[in-house]
Amino acid sequence: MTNKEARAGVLQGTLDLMVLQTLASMGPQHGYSIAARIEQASNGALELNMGTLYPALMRLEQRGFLKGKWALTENNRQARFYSLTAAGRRQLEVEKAGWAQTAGTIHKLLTEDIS
Amino acid sequence: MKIRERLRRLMPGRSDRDLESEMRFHLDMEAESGRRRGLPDDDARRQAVLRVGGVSSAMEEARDQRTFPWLAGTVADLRHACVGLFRQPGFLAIATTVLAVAVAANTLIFTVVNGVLLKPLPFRDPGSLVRVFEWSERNPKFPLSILNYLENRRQSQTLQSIGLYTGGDMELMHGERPERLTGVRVTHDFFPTLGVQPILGRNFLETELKGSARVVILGHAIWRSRFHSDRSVVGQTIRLNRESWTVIGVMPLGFQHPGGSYRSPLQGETVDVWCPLGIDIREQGLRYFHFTNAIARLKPEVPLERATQDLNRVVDDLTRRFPDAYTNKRARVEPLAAEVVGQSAWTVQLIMAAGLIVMIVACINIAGLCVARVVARQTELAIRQALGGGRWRLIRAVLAENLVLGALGGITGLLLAVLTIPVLRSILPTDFPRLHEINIDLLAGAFAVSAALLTSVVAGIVPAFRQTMSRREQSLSRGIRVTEAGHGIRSLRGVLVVAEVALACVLCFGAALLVRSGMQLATRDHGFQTSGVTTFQLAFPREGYNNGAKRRAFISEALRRWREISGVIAAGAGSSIPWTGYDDNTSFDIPGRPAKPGESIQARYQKATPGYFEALRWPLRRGRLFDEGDHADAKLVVVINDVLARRYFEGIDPVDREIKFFGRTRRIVGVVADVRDYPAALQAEPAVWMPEAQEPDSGISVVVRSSGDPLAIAPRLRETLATLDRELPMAELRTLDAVATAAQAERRFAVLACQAFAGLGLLLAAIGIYGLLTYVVQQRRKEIGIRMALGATRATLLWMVTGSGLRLGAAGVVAGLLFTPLAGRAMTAFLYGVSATDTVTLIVAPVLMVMTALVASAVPGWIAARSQPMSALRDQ
Repeated sequence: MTNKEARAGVLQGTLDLMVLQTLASMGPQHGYSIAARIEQASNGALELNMGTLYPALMRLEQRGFLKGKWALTENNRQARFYSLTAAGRRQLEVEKAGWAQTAGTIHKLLTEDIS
Repeated sequence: MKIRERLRRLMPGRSDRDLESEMRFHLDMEAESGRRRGLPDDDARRQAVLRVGGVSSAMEEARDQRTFPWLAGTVADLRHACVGLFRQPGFLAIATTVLAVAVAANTLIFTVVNGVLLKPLPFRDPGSLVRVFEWSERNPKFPLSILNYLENRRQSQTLQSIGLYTGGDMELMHGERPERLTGVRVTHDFFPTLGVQPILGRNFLETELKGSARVVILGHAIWRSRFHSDRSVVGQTIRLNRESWTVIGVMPLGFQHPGGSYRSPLQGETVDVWCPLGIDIREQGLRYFHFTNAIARLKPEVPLERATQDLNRVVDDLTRRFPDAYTNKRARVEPLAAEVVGQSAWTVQLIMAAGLIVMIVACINIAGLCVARVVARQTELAIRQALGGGRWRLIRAVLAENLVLGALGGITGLLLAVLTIPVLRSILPTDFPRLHEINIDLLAGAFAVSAALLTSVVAGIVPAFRQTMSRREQSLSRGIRVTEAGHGIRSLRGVLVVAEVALACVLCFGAALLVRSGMQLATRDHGFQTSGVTTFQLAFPREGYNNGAKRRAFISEALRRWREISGVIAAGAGSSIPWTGYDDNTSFDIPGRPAKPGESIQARYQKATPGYFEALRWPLRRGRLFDEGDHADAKLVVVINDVLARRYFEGIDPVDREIKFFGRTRRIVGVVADVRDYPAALQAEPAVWMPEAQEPDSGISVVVRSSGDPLAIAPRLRETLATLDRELPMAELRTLDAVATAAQAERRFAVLACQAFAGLGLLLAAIGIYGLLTYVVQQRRKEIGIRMALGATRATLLWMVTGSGLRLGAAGVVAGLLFTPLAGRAMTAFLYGVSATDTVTLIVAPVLMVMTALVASAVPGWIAARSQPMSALRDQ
């Protein structure tokens, strides 16, 4: 429990943002390709465990930000594709703004700490 | 853990299988990318698992995401609550029983309230159905005259339609035996107004509203039972009242009679046949005769007031044209629903109030138990608090117990209600409005369970908050040392017990008032004697009895033969018998006595044969009763009652004076005692009787007084009747005692219900006192032990405990007495012969309550007195 919370605590907010952003820029994706995209974007720094990724996807789906649907991949395999809902798009804007503010604050703190 | 898993599966969300295949796909993709990098298959798979984790552990993580976390907590709380409760079987048993009994009682009441008051009437858009009456000072709900109906049909702008109906039983000869059928005569617009039409055949036509029409519509029940659902019966003729009638239609199953205040079957009673209401009577009769119920449907969105105004316009027009018949008359429009329920709404409201009080007492009782229960859990709660349990979390833990309790109590109570509903039906009067709609359905079940949950949660809230508000170090240290209840707990429970006693006292007061009223009624002089009399009705068909002389001869011969039967003391017949709802009035004149301004001289008009008053032992005050000399050709005479004599012949002996009604002058020959319309009526109405021989009816009620069991001579009466007319049925054969019982059935039901509730209230208050004192004795064991060791006698200890119980009882009684004026006033409608502040009742109810308190506190007192000092001290 503590372990899970610690990991989730670090990632939860940012992971949600990353998933939402990935889907917004690339369109409907299955779990594997979302993970691959995030890994690629972080230059391999973020290796997403299934135990981290899928709870996040479920959570986002339960809150109505994503919609999952089984469909065929290019290689003709069954996979569950996630797409953004209207609420998800709105949430992405909210989180983006929140993140910008946080990042701004931290940046300010780091650069202006002497005064 | 298993329960938890199962509950989770009930939650909405994706299945495990679905999730698992999604993850398998992920793993496969990962492995494939490994293979693409040139790894052998085995290695690729192993690497994949290392990189993204195993499916089963990821599933675990995802599952935790799936349910709502608060639910998991609640489930744990409930599980914990169940365990805790079953460790305290005493508490569980008492609390569940208290709750179940209160819930059962209130569920039964709910079925009555729902069936009688809440369920819409079974007609299309029942809200727009109204009953229409003629209003006058003395008769606020007079049946509509036919002319008024015709004019309403022609002139009113707010009525969609209006129809008339009046009772008219018929005699069916189909096969071998004659049978009396419940019949209603209706106008052609009666069914359309209610929004129903025959399922077979057609409705009556306006041209068929004639006394000579011989067309009939059958009820569904009789069509099925006597005509075997034969569809070809429409168009055929059947034998009714010894004539041939053509069946023109069959009504649908489930069509309910709307009920009426005047010569009508009750609402919901099965009607066998409908036939046209003949409105082709002489012109004067159209405005003078009042024997029809009127039902109308308002146009959409028309409020009652506007309809009343509109119909008053019609009455004003009638007053202008026929001042003799319509002066001082107004229109009165009442919603059908209110008319159907009528006076019984009071009864329903009374038992509802009593039931509600019982529920509150039960709630307080359980609250008291919960206080003790929370105190017992003090240590546990304090530890949880110390370990960081939030306040809401703790309240939830406490309330979870009450939820479990509520569910148990609700289900037990519902079962109890289901088991007792036949009893309820049997004690409800048979003519109670909408009796057939009273049953336990889903709604009642939902009511029972939610009432129980609400009660037990409300009962738990106060103790829960109280406990969690206390400072944690304090309760922890106290809890770990000794669970010695603080003064606060005892006094809180004391207040609860006082409240319970007060409410129970109010219930007792109400019940005692009703019982006193009943006793007063029982000793009331009703003016006649009900015991030893058999009564039945005869209705003469047109065929064979088409003129008064034939009927007169038949009645007189039948009475003569009945009187010859051994055991018969007296026999007579009349147009009605007392207490059966007869209230036909007519206005009359007293020659030489002008009416006072605004006064309308009216009386119930009835008919009687010689022997009628004798059979009823109806006392004669002055003059004489009818005898065989008052025949058709003799001088027209009447007998009046005492109240008529007092009201219209102030200070004058009315005997041998004359009155004029039905257009003829009649001489008063006697004055009889007053009999009220129903047993508890405040006063009798003026009444006048004519000899049956001088105004023969087409139907009579026969009364026969005999020695011994009155019904025992019924077969002899029937045989004798058959020798005169084999086809004439004896209808509604019963004893006059049964008539009297029926007339008082609703009051008896109200009394019985209130007594039961008062009993419940007493029992609950007793449980409350007993529970508190037992608890106190247990808490004070040490103190009691020390007192005993120091030489206190058992009597002192007994008194110490019992006395505190009595003090609580007395405080409750005083508090309760403060509310008795309120209760008394609310019950005025049910009281007879006692005032709302009746002294005897004001003494009896508190005494009963204090005695209950004494019994309830004596037992714990006895336990205290018997305790062994050494064991009490050693326990500490």
